[in-house]
Amino acid sequence: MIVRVFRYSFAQAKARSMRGKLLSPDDWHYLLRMKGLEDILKYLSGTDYSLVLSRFSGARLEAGAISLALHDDLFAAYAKLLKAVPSKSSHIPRSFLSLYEAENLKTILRGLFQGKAAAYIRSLLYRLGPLSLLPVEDLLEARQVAEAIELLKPSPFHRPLLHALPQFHAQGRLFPLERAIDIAVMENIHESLKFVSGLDRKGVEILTGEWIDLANLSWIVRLRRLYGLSPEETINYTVPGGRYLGLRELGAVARAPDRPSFLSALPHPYDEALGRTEDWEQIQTLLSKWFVGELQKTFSQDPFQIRLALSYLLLKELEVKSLGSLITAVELGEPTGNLVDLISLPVKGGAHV
Amino acid sequence: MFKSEKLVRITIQVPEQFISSATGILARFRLLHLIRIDETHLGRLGYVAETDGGLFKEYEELLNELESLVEILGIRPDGVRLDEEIIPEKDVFKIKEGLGEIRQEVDSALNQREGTELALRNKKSFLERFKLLPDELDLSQLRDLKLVDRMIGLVPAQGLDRLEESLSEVYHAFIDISALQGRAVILVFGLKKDWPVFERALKGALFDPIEIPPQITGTVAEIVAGTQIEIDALEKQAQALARERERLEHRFGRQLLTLRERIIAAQQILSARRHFGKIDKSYIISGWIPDRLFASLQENLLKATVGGVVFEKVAPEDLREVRKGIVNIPILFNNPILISPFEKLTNLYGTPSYREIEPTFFFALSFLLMFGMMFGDVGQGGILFFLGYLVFRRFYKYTDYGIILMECGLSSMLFGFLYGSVFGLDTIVPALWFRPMESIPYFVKVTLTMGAAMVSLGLLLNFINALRLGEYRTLFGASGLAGALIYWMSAGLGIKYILTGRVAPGELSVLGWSAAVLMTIIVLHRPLYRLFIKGEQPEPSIDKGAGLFTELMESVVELLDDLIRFVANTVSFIRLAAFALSHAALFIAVFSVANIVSGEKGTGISYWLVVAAGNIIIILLEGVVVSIQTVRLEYYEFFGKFFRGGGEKFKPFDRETGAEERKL
Repeated sequence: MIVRVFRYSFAQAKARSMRGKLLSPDDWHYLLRMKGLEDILKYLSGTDYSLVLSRFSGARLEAGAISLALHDDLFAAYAKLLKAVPSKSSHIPRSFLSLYEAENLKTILRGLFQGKAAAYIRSLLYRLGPLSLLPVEDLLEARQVAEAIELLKPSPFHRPLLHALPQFHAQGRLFPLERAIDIAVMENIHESLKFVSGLDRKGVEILTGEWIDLANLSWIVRLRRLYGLSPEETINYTVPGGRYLGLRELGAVARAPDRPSFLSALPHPYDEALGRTEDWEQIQTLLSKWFVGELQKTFSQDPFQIRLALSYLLLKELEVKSLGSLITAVELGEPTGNLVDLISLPVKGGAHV
Repeated sequence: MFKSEKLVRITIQVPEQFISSATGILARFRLLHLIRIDETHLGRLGYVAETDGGLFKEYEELLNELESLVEILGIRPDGVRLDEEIIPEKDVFKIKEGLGEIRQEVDSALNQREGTELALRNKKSFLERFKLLPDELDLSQLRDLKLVDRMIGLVPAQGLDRLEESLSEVYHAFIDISALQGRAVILVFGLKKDWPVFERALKGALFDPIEIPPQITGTVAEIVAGTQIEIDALEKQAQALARERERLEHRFGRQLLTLRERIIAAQQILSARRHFGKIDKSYIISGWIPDRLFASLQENLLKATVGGVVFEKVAPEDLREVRKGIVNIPILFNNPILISPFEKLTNLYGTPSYREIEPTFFFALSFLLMFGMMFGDVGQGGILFFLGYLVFRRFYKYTDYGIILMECGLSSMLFGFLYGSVFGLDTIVPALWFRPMESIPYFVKVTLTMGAAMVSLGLLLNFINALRLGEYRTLFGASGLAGALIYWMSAGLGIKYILTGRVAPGELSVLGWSAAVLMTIIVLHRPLYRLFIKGEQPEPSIDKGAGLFTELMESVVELLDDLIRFVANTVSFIRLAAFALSHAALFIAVFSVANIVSGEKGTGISYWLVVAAGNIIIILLEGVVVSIQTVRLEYYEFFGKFFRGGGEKFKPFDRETGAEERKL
C-alpha cells in the first residue's frame, strides 16, 4: 500500500485537479441551448478548451475541424498524465491512446484505397504528435494498401492486418482490415493489463472489462443493425476481456433477432442501464451514461491506482466525444430538444432543455 | 592566376537550318556562358526562340524507356564521353532505332524471366502453405464427400474461440492441424445445407483458405514432393535466365549508356534554345567566352555551317552596360590544378567580381601554411595525405576535397619536420625549427608576425582593387592607403620591439606625427571630397542629406573602428599558436593516459592501442577544429580587408545547364 501511495500520489493529485477542469453539468446545460457553432465556441473559449480553439477566431467554422481541435486537448491530457503515472502502469493509458492511432491508420488506409491526396488525408488525422508511433509520413507516401501494411512492421497492427489481407482482397473492401485494426487495439488494451499487478490490476481490470463490454455491445448493435451482418460474422468481430459479457453472452446478444430479445439477453447491470429502451440509437448513449457513473465512482475509492488516472482520461474522452456530437448536430441543424440524447455526461436539470 | 580568365561577349547569328549543329558545337565546347535572350533588349521585344515541344517530349519518352531498360538489366551508371556532334532533329531517329533493336532482344528474355519468376513465387507460396497439412492427408478422399462440405485454411489463433462460438448453433467439426505465424491451420467440416452459415462465420474470422487445385490428387506428402521437383526445375530455369540477363547487360550496357548521354545532350540542346533569340529565319546566340577560345570556336562553327554564321565579338570594356554596372561579367577561375580546388572555398565566401583580384592563390597558400602550423605532425600529416589520396582516387565527385586533403597532409608533414613530431613522439626526428611546447613566447611572436603579414597583404590587395575599380577616394579612408600606412608603421615598430626589445623615442615621435597627419586626412577626406570634387557620388551608406558635422563624426567613428580592427585582426592570429599548442597538449594527454593504462611501463599492446586511438581522435577532432579556425582567419581577418564580391559565377553551357533546363 505504502509503495502504491508513493507511486501514485503525484498522478492521482494531477488527475483530480484535471478532473476539476472538466465541463460541469451547468456548462452542459448552457451548451445544449446554443443555436450555432459561434455560440458554442464563444462559450468554450471561457473553459479549458480556449487554447486549442483559439485558432478558429475569424476562421470558417467546420464541425470536423473543431472536433479535431477538441481532441488536441484530450491528447494534451494524455501527455500530461503519461508523464505523471509510473512507467509500467503507463502502458495502460498508452494502449487506450492507441485507439486514436488505430483511427488514424484506418483513415490513412481509407484514403489510400480511395486514391486521395496525402495532404487531404493528413488533414483528417488526429494530431497525436510525438505520442504517435505510426510512421504517418511514410504511410502517406505508400501507393497501395499492402505497401502501407508492410511499413507497419514494428507496430502491433502489422500482423493482424497481414492476416486480414486475404479477406480484404477477396471482399474488395476495407472492412476486414478496419475490423482487424479495431480488434488489434482492443486486444492490446487487454494485453496491457499484464503490466500491473495486485489491487492495481484488479481495479483497472474492472474498468477495462466494462469498457470492453460496452465496445462489444456497441459493435454488435452497429454491425447487426447498421451494416446488416449475420450473427455468425458479428460474433467473430467481438473481443475477449469483457467484465460481464463472455463469449457465450456475446453470442446470445449477437443472435438476438429483435430489441426485446437483445435486452433480455443482456446480463446485469447492462439490462438495468438500458431499461426498456425503445430506440436502438439510444443504446450507445445510455450505456455511456451508465459508464460515466462507474467512472465517477472511482474518484471516491482507493485513489492510489492507475484506475483513477484512466477514469479521468475516459471521462475526458467522453466529454470530447459528446462535444463533437453536439457540434455536428448543431451544424446539421438538429432541433435543440434532441441534443441532450447525444450527451453522456450529467446535465444540470437532467434531460430538460 | 591572380586574375580571372579574360572573357569577351560574343553574339552569333545562325541560320535556322544550322541551329542544331551550332548548338551541338557550343555544348561540346563547354566554355560558353549563355546570356538569356529573354533578359535582354531583344528578348523584351519578343524575339525569343521556342523549343520544339513535340521533339522534346519524344526524347523524354525515349529516356523513360531507356531508363527502364537500364534498371531491368542492372546496368551501373558510368561516365560515357560523347565526342560526336548531336543534332536533335536527326538523332531522334537513330536513337529510336538503336533502342528498338535492344528492346526487341531484351524483351523476349525478360518476358521469359518474369513468367518464370511468377511461377516460382506461386509454387513456393503454395508449397509453404501446403506443407502445413498432415503428410498422410489424402485430398482425393476429401473431394468425394457427399453430405458434408469442408474447408482448409488459416485463421488468427486468437479468433478460434469466437469461430467456435459463432458455429455453435450448427453441426460442425474442427481440426486444428498446425500453426503458422500466429495463425492456426484448420480443417472445418459441416453439413452442406448449413454451409452458408460457415461461409459467413469464416469470413468474420478472417479465414484465409488454402486453395487446392481440382487437378491435384494423392496425399499431401506426394503433392509436396512433386511441387518441390517443379520448384527445382524453375529455379534452374531462373538461374539460366539470370545469366542471360548478365550477358545482355554486358552486351548492351555501354551502348545504352551512350544512348542515354545522347538523349540528355539532345534535350539539353533543345531546351537551351529557349534562351536563344530568333529573328525571322535566324537564331541569335549571345554569351561570354574566354578570349583565347574565340578563334577556335569561330573556326568550328564556320566549318559546320559552311560559313553561314555571323559573329560579333565585343570586349567587356567596350560595353556600355558593363561600364555602367548594369551587366555583370561572369567570372571564370583560372588557377593551376593544385590551387583550383580552393576555388570552392573562395566561392563559399562570395564570388569575386570580374575586375577585382581573384584571391584563390593567396587563399590556398595561406590556408595550407596556417593549417600546417596548427596541425604539424609528420605521421598525422601522412595519414591525411593518404586519406586525401583515397578520396581523390575513389570518389569521383569529391576529387577537389581529396586534393585539398592531400595538400593539407603535406603541409602538416612539413611542419611536423619543423616541429620534430611524428604521431606526437618527439624522439624520432629532430626539430628543424622549434618545438611548440618548449618555445611558447617565440611561437606567439611568429604568429603575430604572420598576422601582421596577412593583414598587410589584405590591405595591399585592397589597394590594388581600389585602383582597378577606380575607387580612388577610398584610398584616403581608414581601410585604404592612409589606414594601411598607419598600420604598417605601427606594425614595423612593433616587430622591431619584438625582435630587439626596444624602440627609439625619435621613431615613436615620427610615428605619432605621421599618424596624426594621416588620421586628419582620413577624417577630412569625405567632407573635403564633397566640397571640392563636383559630381562625385557619396558612398551609398552615407545619407545624401547628411551635414558636414555628421560626415565628420562618421569618419571619426570609422577611423576608430578600423584602427581597432587592425589590432584585433592581427592579434587574432595568435590562435595559430594556441591551436598548435592544444594539438601538442592533446598528445601529452594521450601519452599520459597510455602510461596509466600500461601501468606506467610505457610498453605493451595497451600502451600502443591508447596511442593509436588517441591519434585517431586527435586527427578527427583537431582536423575539424583546425580547418574551421583556418577558414575563419581567412574569411574574417584576410578576405574582410579587400574582398568586394558580388560577381557572377561562370556557368558553362553544357550538360549541367541541360540538367537544370530539363527541371524547368
